Amino acid sequence: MIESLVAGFSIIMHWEPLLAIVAGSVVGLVIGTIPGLTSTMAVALMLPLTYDLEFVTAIMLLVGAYKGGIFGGSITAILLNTPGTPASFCTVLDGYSLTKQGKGVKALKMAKYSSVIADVFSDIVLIAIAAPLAAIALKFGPPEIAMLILFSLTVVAGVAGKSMIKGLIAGGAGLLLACVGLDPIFAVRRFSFDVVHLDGGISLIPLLIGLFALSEVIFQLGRKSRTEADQFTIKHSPLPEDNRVSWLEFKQSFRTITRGSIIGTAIGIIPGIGVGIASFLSYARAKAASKNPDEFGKGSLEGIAASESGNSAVVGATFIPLLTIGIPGDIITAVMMGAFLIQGFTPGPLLFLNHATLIYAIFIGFFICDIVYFVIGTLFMKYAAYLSKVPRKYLFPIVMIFCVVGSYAIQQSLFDIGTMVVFGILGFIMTKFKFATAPLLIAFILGPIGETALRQSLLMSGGSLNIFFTRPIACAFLIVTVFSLIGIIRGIIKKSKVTCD
Amino acid sequence: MVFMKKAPAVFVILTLSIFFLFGSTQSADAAWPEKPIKVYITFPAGGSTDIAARSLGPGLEKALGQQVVFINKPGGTGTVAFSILAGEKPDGYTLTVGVNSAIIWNPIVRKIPYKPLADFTPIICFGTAPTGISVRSDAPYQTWQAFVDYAKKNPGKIKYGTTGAVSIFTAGMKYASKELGLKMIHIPYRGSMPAYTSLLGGHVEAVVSDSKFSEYVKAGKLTLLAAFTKERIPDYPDTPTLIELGINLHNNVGMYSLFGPAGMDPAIVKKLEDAVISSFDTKSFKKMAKSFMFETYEIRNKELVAKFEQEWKKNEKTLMDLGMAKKAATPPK
Amino acid sequence: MQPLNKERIIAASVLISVLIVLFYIIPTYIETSEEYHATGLSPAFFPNIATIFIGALAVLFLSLTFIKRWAHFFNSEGESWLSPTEEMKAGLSCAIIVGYLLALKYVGYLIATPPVILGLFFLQGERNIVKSIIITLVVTIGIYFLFQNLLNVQFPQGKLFK
Repeated sequence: MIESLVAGFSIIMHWEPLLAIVAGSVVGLVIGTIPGLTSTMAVALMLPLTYDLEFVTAIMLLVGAYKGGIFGGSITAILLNTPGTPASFCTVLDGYSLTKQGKGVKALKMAKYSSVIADVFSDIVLIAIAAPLAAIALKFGPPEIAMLILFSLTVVAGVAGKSMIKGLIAGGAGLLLACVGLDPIFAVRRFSFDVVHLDGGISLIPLLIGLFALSEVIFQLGRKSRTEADQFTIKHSPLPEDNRVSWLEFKQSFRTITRGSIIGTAIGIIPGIGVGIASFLSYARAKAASKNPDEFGKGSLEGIAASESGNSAVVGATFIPLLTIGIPGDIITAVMMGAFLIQGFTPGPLLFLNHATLIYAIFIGFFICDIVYFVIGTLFMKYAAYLSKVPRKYLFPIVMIFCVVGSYAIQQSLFDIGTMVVFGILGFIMTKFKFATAPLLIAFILGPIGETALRQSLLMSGGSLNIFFTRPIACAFLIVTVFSLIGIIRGIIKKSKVTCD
Repeated sequence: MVFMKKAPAVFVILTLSIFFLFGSTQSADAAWPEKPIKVYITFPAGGSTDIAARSLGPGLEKALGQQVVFINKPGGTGTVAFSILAGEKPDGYTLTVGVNSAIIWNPIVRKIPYKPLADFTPIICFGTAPTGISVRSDAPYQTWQAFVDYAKKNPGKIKYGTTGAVSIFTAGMKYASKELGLKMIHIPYRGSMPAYTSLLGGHVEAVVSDSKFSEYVKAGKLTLLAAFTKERIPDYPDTPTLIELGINLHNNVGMYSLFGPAGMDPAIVKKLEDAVISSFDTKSFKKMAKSFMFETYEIRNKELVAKFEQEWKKNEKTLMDLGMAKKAATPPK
Repeated sequence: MQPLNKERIIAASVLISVLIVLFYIIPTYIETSEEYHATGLSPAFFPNIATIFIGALAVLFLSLTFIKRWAHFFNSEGESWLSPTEEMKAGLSCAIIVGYLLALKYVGYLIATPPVILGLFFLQGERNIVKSIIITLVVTIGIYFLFQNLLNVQFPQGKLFK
């Protein structure tokens, strides 16, 4: 492993990858900071830019955008009470309260420290675990993959937004939509409706841009300007202690940061879950374990530390299933998988076998990203407020054009723009009726992988379900799935009892 | 401002009218190509078709003097791109690089909204990458005969993976099973990498797929049992072809060709044929050819059209014999 | 109307869609035949399972709305949504976007984009014509160059001009 690290180091220490890291981080920060634009969008829209780049440069550009986007979202969350990405929903709670008290910079700094520490933690885990895991990953045949996806989908179900039933319905819809195209086992047309463009299935990126970005744009285009949204002045307290994080304050939050890092990493490893849930769980656990739970929501630094460490630790970890088994850890890694494939590299255990040096170069790049956005983040925070001053009435029409052109650019297809618009409208309607949209997307991504694996397994076993019990890894995942289902059901029963009292 | 936008259109109309007035097709072609050429690629970026197609780029641009823009239009194993091509103008500015299977194989199995032998001008077939059957190098059968014997002694236990549910790879192995009376389980995969991954992980015993086996054979992890080609693969002189082994089927559809919509001007077709052949000498093509063990062909338009007619009939019979198609799902013309 | 009844209608609509999918769309649009036997699972298997799953959830949801104990779940206000006028504005913007798509197909990017941007600005309340036009032109041309030169994307040219 050491030689690979050294070899990887020499690959990444060139101006192209390094420039890509900086450029990606800046673009990510900018896009993340603008309310309504998410880090997912940042990565999806930058994907076409990577076609002509070298592999490592391309991936670093996207990783920079990913990490920058998450942090950018935190900046708007804290300063403007608007989460820039789903990852920063929890940061808003305490961040904005602190800003109102004039302590915005303190909040930002705490966010930055927690994020970087958690990021480095998960990157270390990534490097440590990835290679050994890749060796085991070859043992993951169709039955194991099928059970893993089953487990992931179960956990996703368990945290599917406010209304779990509606979230599950959205997930089911995602599974159904994923069936459009050719059947993976018999190459038979499903739901093609005689439209030739659907023979290849619904394109992921236009669906993603539509569901997450365009739906938000439509919403914002409808809203009349409300006075607070247009109010840009941010109070800055002149007292020095309000503008930095003291060592004592940092020490108090250290346990929270550690806990958040672990939670984030653990969640990132399981395919399908992703940043929003990680930050939420970290926040919830931190509140439960804190000495001052009532502070949470009113301006608790611990709250910020919890949320930020949770959402940053996920990033490195989501690459683990992608690079070792070839299954994306979340929506953004699914987009990244596209980047890998375009470069001609199929993520999975064979990638480690054949191109270990490139992978290690990317790992080192992750660390460099962390350093870069630590530095840039500080500079950026000063100017961040100006960015969000772009008047809404100009911003969202322009974002709409980006959505349209971005979806078109992937395959130069007007049909893709149509797909994007359809899902934009669908996303808008879903949000109106309080259906969470993320489960739809996760099911859309993981569903086909799971279905193919399941059917291949049944072919292998001649139709018998035994194969999932006789193979140790598959059986293990099955058992874990059952436990997690039990846990979820207990959680629902508890929730219903508690609220009703 | 709208008027200014119409100006280029007016100019083009004027130019064309002048050419028509002079009534000489020769001078119109001498001018072709006058603007960049769009080439659709039927598979996603990064795949072998994509790389093979793009490797022609520099050579084409040099020969034709215009920019060549490659656009990926994946889907339906090539059928989406061809459906789009069928509706384009045969002016030589919109072309497609694809695998012949979208013309002489898939339409037999599945109804496709174009007429494979009538809606296109097959300009030139420029080559193919070899395909074969591989097993793990630590398996107890290291030759084709040993594998067949093992399969006969253990009916229903050998699992083989192929790329694609109704592809030529699947047909090949099914044909072999039928001829030799073997009972094996077929596992279709989406793409060759998942298939090879499964093979290396021990989840299937054999894989019939594209040339990606070579890096694993070189690394000593896989053994190539037989080549699914017409003649032995130059890089693997000791590996017999299935034909030599008595299985009279080879991969006749995995070849890359350049297509245009039907009704293209023969002069333009000839220019393109020559341009592609001249690209064989470029660095980018040679690099691709070496890494893919590419076998270069120069099957020009006239020959290619006749070949397609022949192969269509042959494939129709094969697929019907194997029960993979009842009759041609799509009428060829 | 009462939030509870609204939720019931939503659940009922989901249920009806499920039935349509299950009994019409799946049989019509998935080519199946008896050859697709149990081991590989028929192509319609997964779609059917997913649809039945959604249907079961809809039924569950509907039943829960009738249980008094769970009523508070459905009456919660949650985040603020748009007022009816705002929704109309959103709908109008949607119509403009769909129109944009059609326009792109027939007249191409350079002609379709400026009126759309101007229209949306106007809808958003911008009345300063000069400012609007300047921003529109900058954005249209800026995006054009960004994608055309950086990414080699050929923008739609418009069917009318071919």
